[in-house]
Parts: sequence; structure tokens; C-alpha cells
Amino acid sequence: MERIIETKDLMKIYNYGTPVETAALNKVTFHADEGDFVTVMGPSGSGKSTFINVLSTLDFYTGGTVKLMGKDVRQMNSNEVARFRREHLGFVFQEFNLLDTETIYENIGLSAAMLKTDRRKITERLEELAERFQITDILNKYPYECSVGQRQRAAICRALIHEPDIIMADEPTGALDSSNSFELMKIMKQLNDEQGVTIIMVTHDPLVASFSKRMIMIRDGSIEHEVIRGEMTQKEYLREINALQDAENEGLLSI
Amino acid sequence: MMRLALKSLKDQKQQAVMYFLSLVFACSEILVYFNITAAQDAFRLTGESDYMIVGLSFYILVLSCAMVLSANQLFSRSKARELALRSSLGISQTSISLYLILQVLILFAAATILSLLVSTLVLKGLQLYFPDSVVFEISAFGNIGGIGCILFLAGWAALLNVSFTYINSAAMLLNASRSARPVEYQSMVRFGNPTEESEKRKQIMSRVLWFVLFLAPAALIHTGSQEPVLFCGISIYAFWRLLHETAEPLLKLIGRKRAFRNARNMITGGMYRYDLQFYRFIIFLIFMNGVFLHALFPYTEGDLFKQHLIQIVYALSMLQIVFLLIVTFRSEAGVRNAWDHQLEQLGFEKKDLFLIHAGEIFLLVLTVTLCTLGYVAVICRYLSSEGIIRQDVLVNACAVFAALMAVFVLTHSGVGKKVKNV
Repeated sequence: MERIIETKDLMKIYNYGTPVETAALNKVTFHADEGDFVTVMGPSGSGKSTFINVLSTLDFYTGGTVKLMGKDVRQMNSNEVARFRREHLGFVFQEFNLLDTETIYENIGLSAAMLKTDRRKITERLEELAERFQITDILNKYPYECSVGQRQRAAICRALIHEPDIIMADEPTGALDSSNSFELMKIMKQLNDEQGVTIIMVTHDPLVASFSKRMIMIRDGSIEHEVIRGEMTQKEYLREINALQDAENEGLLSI
Repeated sequence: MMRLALKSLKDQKQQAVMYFLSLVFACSEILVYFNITAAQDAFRLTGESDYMIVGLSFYILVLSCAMVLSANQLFSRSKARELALRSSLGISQTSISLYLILQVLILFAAATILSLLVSTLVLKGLQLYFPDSVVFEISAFGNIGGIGCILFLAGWAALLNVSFTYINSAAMLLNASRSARPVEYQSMVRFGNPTEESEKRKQIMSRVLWFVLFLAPAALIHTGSQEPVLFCGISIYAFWRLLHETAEPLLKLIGRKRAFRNARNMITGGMYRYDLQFYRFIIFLIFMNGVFLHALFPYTEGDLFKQHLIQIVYALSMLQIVFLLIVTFRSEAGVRNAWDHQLEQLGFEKKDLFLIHAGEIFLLVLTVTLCTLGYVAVICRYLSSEGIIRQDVLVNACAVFAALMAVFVLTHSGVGKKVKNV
């Protein structure tokens, strides 16, 4: 199984070299293999989003190494990074990041519009995704005319339009109600099981995390715990995650 | 791509119109000025080159460029999120550059056509102001250098903004807009993604730059160059940089004293807030306008053409500065508020913010004061031409000063790094 992502002693310091330096990631060593489904949990400000942003090349790191498909990110030039994002990565933002001046259709095809891709193929793919995510009737609407759930589904369609090998998602269910969250997680699971897509997802929700194969807990910029589902049922896995989270919270209270 | 560029301009009408007007202003200014100077032979029998005309031409170009850069700041800031999003989706730097350059070209083409019309009307109006024997003829091709300079600058600034998007973290650009606070481009460029190696590289570059900046005037003076514009330009820039690198640690040192306990916060915050401001550049321009043009007045004695020309340039530049102020305040207001908001989040209280604003004003005053040093050269030259100071004494003093400064900065630059230890 190919190693898709690997980090060693990863450091991220915000405002590095200024009087207000803040360490968001502190020597994080992590890996994800092809077909992995990893969720990242942790309290607010623990560095989860920074971690996923760095892994997805959306953010730079201060120290350590990050290897994507065996290639050191620091050795990649901007065109190589762009190619990696275009060919392999689908990113789902917490706050959707849809452009208000474009329709949902244009937002989903945002990257395709600037590339020399087969228009017909893209249109077919877009329509197929729209149908699957039930947003066909809002394709010609602007994001501000749509509900939160519809916007998030559009953002997911945009991430999936070029059939990525890796999906990274920063709290994709954060703005969704429970039924929409459940629906989204079922789709993610399906992508992982049937198409072997590697998924790394940040979440606060233990139920969402229970869909994954592995869960890592980040606190103060370091990985504190790791839970592997293995042969556990989803219920047992959920109980394990909940127990770990409770233990963490109780630990905080006793300080 | 063309369809996308047009759509983007249509979607962001307000910023596009502002940029378009700035380009029209800059191109019209160049067309008016250079067509006036093209007619200078009608005034004189000799067509000798003249430092004053060259200086004014340079000044007009600087003003026009400032205008384009300022408008570009507003234009690019409105596009920061869109570019970051496109880059995060895997669009290459080349494609995004092309996309932005196309937008600039469309605006520029329209602006050139309109500015030809505007400058023709202005020159017709000025015809009344000059003697009847002088006839101005508008010629777009005759001013292709100046117009080309504007196009080059607009294109270069656009490309620079795309590269900022790629140098900086897409996540940071996207998150900044998400939190309803405007993206602060400059601070990102400054704090973007420094690593230990990049900081070292920056320090070395800074030292080299400093050395060249001070060595250049020393060499110019030593070789007997009499080019005041070049000398002024280099020395102003050098002092500008000197202020940038030295003000913070020096003022922080003051802040360490017990009597200035609050000053430390004030100066740190003030420095950052000050650093965000583009308007200090406009204050500099206003200052430059007055000193530069007044310093040139003695040279116009008995030359009607020069006197008229200076008055026209003065009027043009004042108009332009007003326009620049409007553009800048539009683009900077949000940035100032955003910075204050960030400081509040860092635990600064209202009274600290008040002190920070005071610190910012202090630094602005300091900037203007230091800028005057660049003009000392112009004044000294005038004093020397009047025989008040002996020229050889002045030249030697300047050369020694510049050489000493070159050595000083070589050993003391990169002071920003030492700030952390203060």
C-alpha cells in the first residue's frame, strides 16, 4: 500500500520572527496510506485546521518535513504544487468558500473553467454529482440564495469534480444538521470503501469520527492519542472515541 | 479566459472603475505633460536638454506610477480571496497571471482611448494659458514610452499580486476573508511563511541592499556626477529603508525604560499599524511636491515656459494627490480597523490602542523628517550654485558621509533580527 502522506517533526509557528509567535504544530509525526480514512479531533485551537491545511499544501510549515506521495513539499515548485492539488486533492472547506459572484454551477466548475479540460466531460460529471448530492435545482442560483446544507453540498461537489485520490475536509459537517451530516458521511465512507479514496477529515463530532478507520487526537499542536478501528464495530469504535474524549475532558478539569 | 476576465471585471465593478479611473488619470497626465514639453522648442531657440525638464518628467512618472500602484492595491485586495481559492483548486500561477493580466489589459486599452480624449481637451484648454505661438499637438505614439511605463507597471503589479497569492498560504488568505475581516496583504507578505533559512536569506539581502544603496551615491559623488535626481532618488530610498529597519528596535529600546513602560506596546503596535499604511507614501508625495517644485523655482527665472510648466505640474500633482488620498482611504480603512481588531484580540486595551495610534503618528512625523534629508542635497546644490557654500567642501562631505554610511549599514543592518532579543 502506497504511503500517501508522511510528516516528520512538523512545526508550524504563526508570526514566526515577530514578538507574537504562536506555535500551532509542535513536532507532529504522522502518516496516511492509500485508502486510509483518518479523522482528526481535538479541542478548539489545538491545531487541527492548521494540520490539515499544511497537509493539503494550503498552508506553509515552519520546520520538519511533509511528503506527499513520496515527494517533499519543500522541493516542489508552485506548478508542481498546483498540479498536485489539481490532480490528486479535493479540499472541503469548513465555510464552503464559494464565490458569491458565481452561480453554484460556475463555483463547482471553477477550476475546470481555467483549464483546458474537455467541457463535455466536465459538464457530464458536474450533472452526475449534482444529481447525487441533490442540488440540480439550485445549479443556476447564487450561493447567497441557497441554504447552508445546499452550499456545503456544492462545496463537496467542487472538491469531487476532478475525481481526486485524496479528500481533505475541515469540519465538513460543521454547518450541517444531523441528517445532512449523516448523509455526507455515508457518501464519504462510500468513496473510501468503493473507490479507495484516501480521506483525512477534521471534526469535533465523535459520531462523524466513528465513520473513519483511524482517529487521531491533537492537543496543543501535538498528537496525543490514536485510535484504530480495526475489527471493532462502528458502535464500539464510537464508544472508544467518546471514552477517550471524556477522559481528555476530565483530565483538563483536574488541572 | 477572455470571457472569464470580462465577467470578473463586471462582477467587481466598483474596484474595476476605480482602477480604470486611476489609469485614465495617469495616462492623461503623461500625455498632457509630455506633449507640453514636446512643444518647448517653440519657446526657445536652443533645444538643449535640461535637468529641470528631466527632473519634472521623472516626477510626473513617479506620480503616475504611484497612482497606478495605489489603485492596484485596492483592485488586488478585492481579488485576493478569489485568487487564493482558484490557486487552492490547483490553477497554476501562469493561468492566474494570464487571467489577471487580461483584466489589466482590457482596462488599460479602454483607459488609453479615454485618456487620449481627456488630454486633447485639457491641452485645448491650456492653449489659452500659453502664448498663441505655441500649438500643442496630441500624439499618442510620441508618448509611447510614458504610456508603456504605466502598462508595464500595471502588469508588473498584477503579476506581483499573483505571486503574493502563491508565496502566502492560501488558507490564510481564505480564512482572513471568512472571518469578515479584510485580508491584509502587506502583513502577510511580511509575515507570510518565514522559515529559519528564509530569515537568514532576508538578512543577507538586506545587508547587500543597504551597502549598494549607500555606496552608489558615494560612487556618484566621487566620480563627479552632477545628477541631482538620481542622487536624491537613491538617498531618499536609502533613508526610507533605514527608518524601516532601525525605528522599531530603537524605539523599543526607549520602551524598555521604566518611564516608557507603555511605550513598548505603543511602539510595537504603532510600528505594525504604521507599516500597514499606504498613506504615509502619500504624505511623502505631498511633501515631495512642495519641496521639489519649490526648489526648482529659482532655476526658472526668466524662462516663461519653465514657469508655466512648473505651475501645470504643481496643479496636476495636487489633483492627483487628492485622487490618491480618496483611493487609499477607500482601500486602507478596513485594514486599519482589522489591525486594531487583531490587537484587541491579542489583549491590547483601548488606552493601548490610543497610544498605538499616537505611536503611528509619531513614526509618520519621523518619516517625513527623515525624508527631508534627501532634499538636503537639492538645497545644498542650490546653496553651492549661489556661492554660499564652497562646492568642493560640499562634494567631499557628501562622499565621506555616504561612504561612512555604507560601512555602517554593512555592519549594522538586519537589525530587525535583534529586536527579538531586546
